[in-house]
Amino acid sequence: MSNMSDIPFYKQVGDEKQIFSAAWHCQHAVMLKGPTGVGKTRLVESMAAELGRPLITVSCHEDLTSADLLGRYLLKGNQTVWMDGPLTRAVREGAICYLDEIVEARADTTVAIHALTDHRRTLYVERLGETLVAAPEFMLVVSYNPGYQSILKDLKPSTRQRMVSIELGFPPHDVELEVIIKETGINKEMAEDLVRLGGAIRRLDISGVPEVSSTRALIAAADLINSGLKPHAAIRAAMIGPLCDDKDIAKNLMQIVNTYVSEEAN
Amino acid sequence: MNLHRYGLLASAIAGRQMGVVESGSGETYTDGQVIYLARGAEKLQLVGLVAQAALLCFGSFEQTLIVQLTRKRSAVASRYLTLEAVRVAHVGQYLMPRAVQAVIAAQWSGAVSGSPAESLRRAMEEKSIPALPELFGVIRPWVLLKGLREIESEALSDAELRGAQKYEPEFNEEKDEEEEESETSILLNKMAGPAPSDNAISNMFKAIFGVENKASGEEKKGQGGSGAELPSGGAKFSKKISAGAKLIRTVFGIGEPDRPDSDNGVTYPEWDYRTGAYLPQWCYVTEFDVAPSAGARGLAGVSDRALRRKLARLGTTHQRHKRQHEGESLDIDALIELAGDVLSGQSGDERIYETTRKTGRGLAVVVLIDASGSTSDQQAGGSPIWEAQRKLAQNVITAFDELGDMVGAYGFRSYGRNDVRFLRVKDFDKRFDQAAQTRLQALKPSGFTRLGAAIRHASDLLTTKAATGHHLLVVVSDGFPYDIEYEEEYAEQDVRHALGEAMASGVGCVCISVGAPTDKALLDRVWGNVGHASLNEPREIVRYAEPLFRAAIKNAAAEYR
Repeated sequence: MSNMSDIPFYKQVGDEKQIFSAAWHCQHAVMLKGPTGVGKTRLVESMAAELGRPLITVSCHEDLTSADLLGRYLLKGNQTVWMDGPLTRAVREGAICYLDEIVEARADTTVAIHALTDHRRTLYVERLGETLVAAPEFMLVVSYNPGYQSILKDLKPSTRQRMVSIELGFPPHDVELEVIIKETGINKEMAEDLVRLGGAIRRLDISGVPEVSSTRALIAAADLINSGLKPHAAIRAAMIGPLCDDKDIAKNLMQIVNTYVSEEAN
Repeated sequence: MNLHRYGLLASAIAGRQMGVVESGSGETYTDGQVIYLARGAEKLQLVGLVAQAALLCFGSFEQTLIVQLTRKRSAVASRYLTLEAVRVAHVGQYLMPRAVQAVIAAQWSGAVSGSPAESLRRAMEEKSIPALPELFGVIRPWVLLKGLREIESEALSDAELRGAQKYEPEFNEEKDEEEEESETSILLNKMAGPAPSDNAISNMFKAIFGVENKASGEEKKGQGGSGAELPSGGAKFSKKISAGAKLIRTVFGIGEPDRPDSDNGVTYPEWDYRTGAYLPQWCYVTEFDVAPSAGARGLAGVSDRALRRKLARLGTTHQRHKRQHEGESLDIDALIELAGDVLSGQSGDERIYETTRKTGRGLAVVVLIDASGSTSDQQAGGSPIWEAQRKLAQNVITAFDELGDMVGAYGFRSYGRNDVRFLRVKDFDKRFDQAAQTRLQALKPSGFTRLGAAIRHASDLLTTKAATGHHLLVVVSDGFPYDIEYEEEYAEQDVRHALGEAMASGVGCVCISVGAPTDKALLDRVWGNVGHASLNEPREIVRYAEPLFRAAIKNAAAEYR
């Protein structure tokens, strides 16, 4: 039984942990949807620890091939040796395999997981000529940021339909407050100011500010303030700069920052 | 004083697009779309701004309640403001900045209302509720009503106009004639003194904002006296311009003048169908910057995913993809690397093929927005055609911009053949940013529609500034050409000819009208060779955009070769 302190901290908003756990017990794949920085990866890490399974993470990108997922032959001296890819390893060991930002991978790569995500739970490795049956504890988790992708790169319906989806959004204020304080140890007043500021920026929803301030950005700002940086400089670096490139908008956003956070550290 | 930088802040709190301008009457208030800020120290201005925006957000200015306020004395509105500010600070705990919340909470520590309706009832019954200090601003029920109705595009009736003129001055009266008890708050009286350092308000401001309370000092120049006086800076009657005056203004271009960009215009010929020949160097086209307009709010509409999806497949070009697992040809670089790796005893990358796929963006678009006076006519629904056109243009520009295509956007109008104006909203090489959005909102209808010259110039822009790839010209207009000495068959034939010229140089042309009553026969005559669509509402574009644009691009490409 793992120690409570070994489990990465994740503060639940709705019932996402129950859904995840139920999906694992029923041997279903899970699709985590949500904007960047709201806790998708942290949820997976936390659940993997709670369920006592190893976690194998793959960051997907456009050049990802099925060989990268399934495995390839390596030349060692004069011999060829088969090396399992991360997905194959997870299937054999009954681990949780987490494909982060799956939309980035090409569609012909994504298709490799189809047989794993329906009732068959098998993985056909062409190079080996083997069909592996997944261990009962194996689980596939993918993450996906719906707002970000261009239309040409959407997830195919045939892939989407195979998974149980968990939708994560920006946490409500009290939860976000608790997360920031727990992660950074910053004082409550500054944490509250940051939460209010994040909330205000999220209400804007204008073009020129495509992504809004995530919890991760608020935590980064708090970290910088903790290490001695003045609040406005910390917020500009951690929140505003990453948010947009338009100088006019950035200036007006700093006006919002000035109003919500006083420059004197509390 | 330029207060545009507060626009985002107001919008973030109110939860919708807001503009911020300086108040002409020395009072802070809002009409539901713009917050009018009185002069003062910045930190104190912000309190007023935040308060007004927060009230908007939490329903304090809901129409049915405000209507009731118009029938009451201003004292009721003051008390309502206090109760609502306190309620909003309570429910909006995570919305409002800490400092402002503290200031509001210090005003009055009585029971907090559960709803705006309750606040209104209490404002009418409980006379002991104090008014807030000046810096929070005031409620102007008639201004709000007008503003709210403009959002819903209802005109005020004559009776209401008279009512507005009758009631507005009340806010500037120093005392109600009939009521005996003082309307001013204890706090206002405190501020009346010479602000000693142990003054409660002064200390509070110092602690929170780090400044002295300057409000009582600043306003009272030349008036000397207690802070209990409300500034009497001239009641502003906002009149509705009569229809006739409006016509004159639009037709003769009186109003916000365009600012000329330079003296370098370009001449274009015009086709005279009677002689079957061009009139050389007949029209003079100049590019202008859009004149900035007070209160123009450059906040964008929400991006339309459905429209983007449809437009994404337009104008794609072949793009080479290297290092593929499969493909029609070998990627020589990858092959050489693999050979090298294997020979040196390492494992290599087996992606040695190359393929082409249609993934590149190769489309350049110019969106021309008819900015002539005829578009300020009302639609059947009530709002002017101009608004619908602008919204449509905004949607199309945003969609193409988000896809990464080159988009230029211009308003156009004319005052005769020697004065055809292109009003620059968005350049090709810049994103559809804040500044461009503001220019689009600041654009105002005026003048006439010399379509032929506009099409020729736009086509020229496309072929010179965006030389490679596909070209598309989208004209958002009722499609009806009209100018001085440019009408009926003469004009129609010239436009047909200009369209033909554009197509021959590879520019696909399309006309989209929204809400305009132009007759179908005319549209077919003039735009029949290219493509056109008449929409009732901007959002219908999703249905027509792809087939219309695709056909235009295809036909132009065919003619070009």
